[in-house]
Amino acid sequence: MGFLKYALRKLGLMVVTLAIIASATFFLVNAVPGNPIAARTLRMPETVKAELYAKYGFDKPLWPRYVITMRGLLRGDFGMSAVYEGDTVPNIIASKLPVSARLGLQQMLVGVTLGILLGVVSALKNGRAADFAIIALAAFAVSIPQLVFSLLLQKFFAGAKTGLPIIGWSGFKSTILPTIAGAFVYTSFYARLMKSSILDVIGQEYIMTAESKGISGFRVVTRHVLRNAFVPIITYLPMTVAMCVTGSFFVESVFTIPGLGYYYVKSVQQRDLSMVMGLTVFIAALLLAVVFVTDILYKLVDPRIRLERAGKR
Amino acid sequence: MRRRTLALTLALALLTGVVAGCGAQDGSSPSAPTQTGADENGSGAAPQNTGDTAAPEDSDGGEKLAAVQELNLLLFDNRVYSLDTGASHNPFEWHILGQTGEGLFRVFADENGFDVRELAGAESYEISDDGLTYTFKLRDHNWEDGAPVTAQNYVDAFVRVHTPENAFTYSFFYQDIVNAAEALAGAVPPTEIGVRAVDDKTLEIKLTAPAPYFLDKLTLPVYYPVRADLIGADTDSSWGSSIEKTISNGPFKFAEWVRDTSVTLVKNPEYWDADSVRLEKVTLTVVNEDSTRAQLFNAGQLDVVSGAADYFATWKAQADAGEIVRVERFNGRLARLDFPWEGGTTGLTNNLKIRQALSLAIDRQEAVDLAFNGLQLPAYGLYPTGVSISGTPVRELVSEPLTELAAQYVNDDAALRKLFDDGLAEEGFEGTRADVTLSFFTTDVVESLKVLQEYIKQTWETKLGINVNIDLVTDQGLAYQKMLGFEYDVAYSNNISTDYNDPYHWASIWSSTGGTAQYFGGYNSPRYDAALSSLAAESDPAKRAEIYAELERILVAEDYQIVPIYYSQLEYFAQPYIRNFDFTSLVSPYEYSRAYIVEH
Amino acid sequence: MAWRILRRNPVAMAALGLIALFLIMAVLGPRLRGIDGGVINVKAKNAPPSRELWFGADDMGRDLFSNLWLGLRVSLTVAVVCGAAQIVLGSLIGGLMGYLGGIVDVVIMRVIEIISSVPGLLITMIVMMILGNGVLSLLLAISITSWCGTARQIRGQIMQLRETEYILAAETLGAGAWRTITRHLIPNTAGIIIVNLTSSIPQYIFMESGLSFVGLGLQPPNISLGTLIASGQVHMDFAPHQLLFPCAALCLIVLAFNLLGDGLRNALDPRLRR
Repeated sequence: MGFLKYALRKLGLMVVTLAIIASATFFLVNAVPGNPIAARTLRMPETVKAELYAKYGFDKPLWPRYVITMRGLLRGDFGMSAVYEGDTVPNIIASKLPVSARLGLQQMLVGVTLGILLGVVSALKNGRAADFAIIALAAFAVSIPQLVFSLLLQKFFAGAKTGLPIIGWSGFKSTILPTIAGAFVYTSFYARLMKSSILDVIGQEYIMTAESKGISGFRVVTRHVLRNAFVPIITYLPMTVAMCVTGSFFVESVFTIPGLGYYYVKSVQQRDLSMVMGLTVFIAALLLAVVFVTDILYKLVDPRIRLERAGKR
Repeated sequence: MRRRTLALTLALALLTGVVAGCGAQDGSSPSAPTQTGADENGSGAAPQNTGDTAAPEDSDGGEKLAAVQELNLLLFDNRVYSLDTGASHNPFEWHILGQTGEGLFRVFADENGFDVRELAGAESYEISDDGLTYTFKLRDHNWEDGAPVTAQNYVDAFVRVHTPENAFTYSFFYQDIVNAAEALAGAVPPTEIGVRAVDDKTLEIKLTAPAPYFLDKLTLPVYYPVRADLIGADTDSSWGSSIEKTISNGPFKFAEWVRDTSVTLVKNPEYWDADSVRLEKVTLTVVNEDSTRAQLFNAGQLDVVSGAADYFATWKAQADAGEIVRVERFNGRLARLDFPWEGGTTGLTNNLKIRQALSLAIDRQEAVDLAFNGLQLPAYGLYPTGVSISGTPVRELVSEPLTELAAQYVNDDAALRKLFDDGLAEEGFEGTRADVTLSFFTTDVVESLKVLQEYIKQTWETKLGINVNIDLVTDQGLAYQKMLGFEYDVAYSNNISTDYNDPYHWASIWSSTGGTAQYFGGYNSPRYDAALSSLAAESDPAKRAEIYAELERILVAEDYQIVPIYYSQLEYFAQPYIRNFDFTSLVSPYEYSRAYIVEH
Repeated sequence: MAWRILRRNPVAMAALGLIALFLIMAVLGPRLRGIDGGVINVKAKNAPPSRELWFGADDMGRDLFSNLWLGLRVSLTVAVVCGAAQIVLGSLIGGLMGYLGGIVDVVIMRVIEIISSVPGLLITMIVMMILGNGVLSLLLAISITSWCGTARQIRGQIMQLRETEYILAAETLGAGAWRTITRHLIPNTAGIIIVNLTSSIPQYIFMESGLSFVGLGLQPPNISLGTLIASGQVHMDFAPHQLLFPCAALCLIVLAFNLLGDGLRNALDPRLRR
């Protein structure tokens, strides 16, 4: 069956890509001279130092370490963190991913919805003052560095009087400010996308046919235009979801949120190899999986395949 | 049309599924604004002497206890890597482990902010006449699950630390103990070190040579008793990665630990002095930004704040008006510059005259005023304020060697330039001062330190007419390599903390055999080593002070191996309703096991 | 033709003008006041804007006005160079892929997929760590991953255009591959490339400022908008001008590029015209 073969082939390709990514990460991280545990060995007796190096595999040269690491990966074992005793990739993901994902999705919900709404208005008022105002506003919202915006939000909402906690992550209220801080990065993009998509659809012939049939303007917009205009949005949504789920460093840092974004950047800074590799592979796998699923979905709804199957009967 | 609807529906389903699955929450945060107690200018707790158990039940001097006894503090720098006491290696971990555990001693602060060592897990102790045998009588007290704390618990801890396979960072610390070095070298099984449980309540430690500062070494949580039955005898330190397997014999126990975010402690009702522990809950949170710290403190959601230098002026004014409390503490650190003893990027900084010029050109007071609004104390010696010799602050016994010379030269550009030129001539340098480019190595990204380093660079460029390149390396591994390889002409660092309250800790770092000198410039001076070893035979504090003075003089004012810049001082502001909160200088910044909150 | 349409769009023209203004200031600005922005002046520490110091001073008493334009210069350089790398590399590689197809296409597509799946931050951070904290390494680090999107788009465009009739016609008429590319493919793809550029440039500027903030990008003595914002935000409550001016500059330049991009999109895309 053509479709099954297609899916399996794509899956195989995905695995190969992940393997290459893992290898590339390994070599990249090791390309920086020095290692994360060297600084701890300053006053250690030689024997203890040797034990420490052996514990994290730094006593072996590069290639044997590579082989060991890749073998471990096949078993699903990324090893232990060299910085935080006892941390493993699975338990870090289990504890931090839900936090980042929730924050990311909330931000997306607010930002994308706002963007779509603005895009619709902008399309309907194309070329007029409102259109320019919206574009300018959206562009401005995306121009403020997230860090500065987060700090300003904190400053503005500090104090018990507003009831909004300015750091931490427990209870719905504490998610409000971080959500606002990160929502607007999506607004401009989706507004623009929605607007051009609507204008695109409006220009197309079957809409003009609908109009000529006498269907009223409002119904034209709601029934035909929107439904078709959403298609490009759907194309981009899965990728946006995948990318936002992994967290944003600045928002998490300023609001002290125990998310993946902050931890990942810290791991890279500290060159904690196991964690960097594990998290990179995880994030890459997530993105690739999303691409894969999208591909499959589109293949499923692709008229050419359906016709093909119809023809075979 | 239907296909598109299908795609839309599928996508939405995907989205909803992900959202639903991610509904679970995680993490904790400081609770809703709770009020806490404050400190009066660093007053220490009433000394907890042996046999002195409960402090007065409620009011002290007419003040009533607040209904809610909860404290909100900053979690410094989120460098709590593990809860395994044996593996601990930085003050941030020691601070927390000191509250959730108890060793033989506990450190409080006296009225002047100097550290005072009190008996805690030990009820009394004896030192033999030859200074080699320490015998501790343990207090009767239990772990949080009711099991008694025994001498064997201590022995187990010491054995773990000296097991090479555990590869603990601070395993080197107790090599004064008989067989400790041999155990670490693998020559002798760790069980044969000179630590022995005479009986359940008596612990005996034998040293290889007399060490007057040994008791001070026992304030570090590295050797705190452990429950071998719970954590297992093997080398797996992973029990320290979560609070599940931790067990407390201290004033508090763990309620929660969220990586990089917060630690929550609650009172341990089984603590032997639980009656004096009045705080119910302590929450420590990481707050990365200065302005955020300020907002939280001003809103009453943070009880003690430090490090937000811009706000100090406002807070100082508030403190003067009595609205909040201000505390200044030395934290036993010296910010300094290191020179490579041999080699280096240009090799010029091996030369004594060039070193002198560089060291004496810096206006330390102005530097500190610019970078820290005057908070730090300009340094002209090695031993940081806060360190004592047998109870007397070192700076009262030993005067700083560089003060006069610095005052003499700091504004004399011509003399400085002549020194530098003479040095260049000695090195056979072809060219003038303007042709010199020195590499100034640093790892700091903190704003105030950048200001300081820029200032130093400009000082040298203007006063000496040379060029200076700041070489910033933020990666720890890379930085370590650079230091070991002497790939710098001058390096800034403030990375030595005082692990125990005696100048020997500082002096021993520059010993050529200790292993650390390599990292701090590779200093190698037979005179220095000789003076250092003469300390082993000397137990009289006054004589020791003289030797310490000589060591300092050699290092700072004769060989100019280091350029002291300032003694680290921390400024804390606290809410006015906290009592008995001690700001200790060394090892750990706070001691709040006896703290409480009054009504406000 | 597209230019004429753009000319009639007031917002886009204003944005273009703003960018031009910033470019001029980046060149002339640092010298304008005659003050050396590198000199530390203890007495002027954190000074607010005044007649002498138009934008005030930073925490070492250095003139913010001069330093701002210096920083802008670096940020714009990063933006322009990385943008150029994106176009050049992206077009070349995308062109190769689209035109040659076959194994070349497959292999490079895989490479693009790999680079796109790894968090860009990781690659950039590691490259910066290896190469050190200079402007050159920053340019390299960002450029390494910048070409992927453009390459993919160019490839798509080319594959599309190859099938259209006038390419076939041109080939029938005997036009060689080079003529085909220059006369037909490039003009048609130019629009997309330019539009892409105007939305990528703000990203590069943000990336640079983000990296500088985390300590991995530029560090003193290098100045960029990122380092100015990083130093400025520490004093946000007491010397807000230190954050305000660099941040405003960043926002305005990014805004200008975004608006220009919108205008260009309108001008180049026939469907959006009414």
